[in-house]
Amino acid sequence: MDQQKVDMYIMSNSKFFEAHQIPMLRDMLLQADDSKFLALQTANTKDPTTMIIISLLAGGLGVDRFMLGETGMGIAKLLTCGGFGIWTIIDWFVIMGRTRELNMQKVQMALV
Amino acid sequence: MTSVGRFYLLTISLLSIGWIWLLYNQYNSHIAKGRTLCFVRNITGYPCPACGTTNSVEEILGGRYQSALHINPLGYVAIAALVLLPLIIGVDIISGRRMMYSIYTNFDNTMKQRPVLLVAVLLLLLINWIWNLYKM
Repeated sequence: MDQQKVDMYIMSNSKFFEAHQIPMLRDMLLQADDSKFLALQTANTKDPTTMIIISLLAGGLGVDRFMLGETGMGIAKLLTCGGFGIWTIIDWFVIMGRTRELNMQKVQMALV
Repeated sequence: MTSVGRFYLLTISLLSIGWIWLLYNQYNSHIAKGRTLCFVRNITGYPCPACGTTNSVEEILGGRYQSALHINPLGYVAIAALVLLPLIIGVDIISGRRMMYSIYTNFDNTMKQRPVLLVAVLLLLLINWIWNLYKM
């Protein structure tokens, strides 16, 4: 992909990824073929800010984990009253990082 | 820590909290009665789909199976998990295998590949939730 396109993508999506992943992501995108751009745009990445709001409001029912595609974790959270309330609190702090981590995985999958 | 390590830490923590909570309820029932760790119930006042599981497990341990089923059928799932999962984790720790993790990933993949199964599970939980709200 050409540099302008990659920089544009990174500028508009930088909050979706961990700061330390950005240089690696930039290299990956520069090496990727132009035809991958559509797949990249439709990679279904999630906004960490949206996820923290969902986690605060409906984390007790595991909705945040279901949205991230971690179905097993979602069911476990739902069946344990949000992990006895404690997992819910832990997820308030963990979910943004986890979202960014999974976004990176989705982008890597899209570029393969 | 690797994702497998984190998974085991999470599972062991949840099982420990589950057992501690159960024992606390068994031996301090006069203090624990009416108290809950559930966020949904504490904030909204309405029970979540899994509310009542502790009471249900206590009824099972007391041999009152009908009553347990009436309070919350998830008590049977909970007691099975509380007894079986520590055994599987114990075997994993001793033998160095990852049986528990592979069970989880298999379950996760099955749910993703067969949305019908996931919808069925969620529907059952929804029915249980409506029943829970009705029993209030």
